[in-house]
Amino acid sequence: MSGAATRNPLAPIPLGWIPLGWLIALILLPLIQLIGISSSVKELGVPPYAPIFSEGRFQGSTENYQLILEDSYYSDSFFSTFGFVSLATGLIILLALPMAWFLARAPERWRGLWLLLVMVPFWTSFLLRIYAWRTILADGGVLNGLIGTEPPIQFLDTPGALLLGLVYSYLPFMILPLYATLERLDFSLVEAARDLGASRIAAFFTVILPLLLPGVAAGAILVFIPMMGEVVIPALLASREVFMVGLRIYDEFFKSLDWPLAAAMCVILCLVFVPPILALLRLDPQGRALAR
Amino acid sequence: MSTRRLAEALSRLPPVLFAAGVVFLYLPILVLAVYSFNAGRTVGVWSGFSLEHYQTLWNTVTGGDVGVGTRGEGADARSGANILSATVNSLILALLASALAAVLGTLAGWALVRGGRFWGRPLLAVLLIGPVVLPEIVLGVSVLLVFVQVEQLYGWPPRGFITVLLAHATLGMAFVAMVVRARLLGMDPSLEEAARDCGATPPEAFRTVTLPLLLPGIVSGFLLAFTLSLDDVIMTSFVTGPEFSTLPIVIFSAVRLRVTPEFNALATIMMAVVALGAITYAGFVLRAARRASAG
Repeated sequence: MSGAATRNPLAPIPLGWIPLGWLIALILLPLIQLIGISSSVKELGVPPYAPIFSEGRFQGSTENYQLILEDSYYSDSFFSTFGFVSLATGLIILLALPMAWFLARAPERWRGLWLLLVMVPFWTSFLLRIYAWRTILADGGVLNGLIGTEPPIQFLDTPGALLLGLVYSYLPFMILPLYATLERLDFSLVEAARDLGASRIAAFFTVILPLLLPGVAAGAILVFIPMMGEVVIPALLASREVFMVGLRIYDEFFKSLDWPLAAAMCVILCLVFVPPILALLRLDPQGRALAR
Repeated sequence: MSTRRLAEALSRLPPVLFAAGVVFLYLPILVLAVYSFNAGRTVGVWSGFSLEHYQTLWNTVTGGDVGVGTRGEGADARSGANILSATVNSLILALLASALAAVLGTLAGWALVRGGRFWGRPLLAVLLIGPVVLPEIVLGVSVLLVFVQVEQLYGWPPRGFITVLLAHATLGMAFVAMVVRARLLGMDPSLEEAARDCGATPPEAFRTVTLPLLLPGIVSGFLLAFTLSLDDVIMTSFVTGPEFSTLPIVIFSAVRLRVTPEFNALATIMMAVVALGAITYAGFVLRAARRASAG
């Protein structure tokens, strides 16, 4: 990597400073602002929150955080979201594993086709596909139309609908890292284990599974965090009976216009998934599977 | 059951589950497409084949006569203009945002792999992960707060096309950077050195050797950013203004209120277009790959 400065037309300013400056302005500063505003309170006016610095002093407080932790309306949504997302992640892993296995073990000439098959739905609009499930599950929808009972069975606004939506949307995100990991797996290791006397099942558990774990961990991270903040799926499939934090924040921001409270919920949301990330990263210390 | 039998049974699972998974993935798309040809207003009960919803959609968009069957809900001239202008907005926005994302993402990816050491390099790497792993709602709230604050102080930017463009470009560049980084890491640096040995200046070497090799990666990053921008709901709803609407926003607000059969027709058309585009593109990629490996 010598001569990096000479090939840079902007030398001595590193080219990397252009995207860096952009990201500082549009990612770092916003996150700092988020934490700052979370200490403010809702106020009428533009913008709808009290200034956090006035008369030269810091005016912020932790009352938003106290409210969230004490009022079960808010704290429950964090717990139930965590529960749903964990369950959905588990289900996704269970379904993605055999699918990725099939892809990785498929003959070369067919693999492209199978991959394409899996990816095409991913390229069509996510919003439209969730909307499609709504038309299937609604009281006047396709499923009830086929079953034909009166009154119609309620499918929407149930934990099942939410889980279905989550698993459906995030399944491709788990298949890819798992496929990448499996594709690079050296199956001769399994043969070696068999030669040493292990049964096929034992070989799977002692050889393949440990090698799979980084890929599973990477996929789980890729899936867990965005799911925690999901708004569209609960908004369309389960908005009244089930409580997802993302939708709560969205409503708090747009309906109640309580921006500081929404900001505080965002901060807590970020804190909530830090422990799972740390735990999962320990399974994939070099981030090899993530880099792919 | 002996473990041997169990193992054999288990080994039959992957193809079965793969098929089941594929069916699962396509099910809503196909059901939506089939029922978009359903006659009548109730979505669920099949009342016979009809093109009426496509007709209504066409009339809505072209401002024509909306017909007897519909009652004008969501099908008046103004909402028709909404859909059309929102679609145009979305396309232009996606094009510009992904172009911007491609430039920024390529710069970032290149700087991280070939840019040597510079102040802020670790920070750049960390911030690039942000859009990929942070939930969009967190980013949406945060970015809007900054836009509002800046507008208070400097009177700019007005919330609308510009703010959405900035936000989408930020989201997209992270993905472009990922792809470019991966490609650069897999690229042999000695190729560039060989060009330099043959007398090329560093910019020339970059232009004639690195960039062509990088181009497929940049293109796929561009397409990824394009798809994300075209489909984005949450970030857009936070940073947009009253004057600027995108297609996902129009659809999202409309479907939260009611299930309209015309939207089934719209959805089917959109998905068909994208699916065809994706298949064509993938066909090109596959054929190029096969030609490369054969030649």
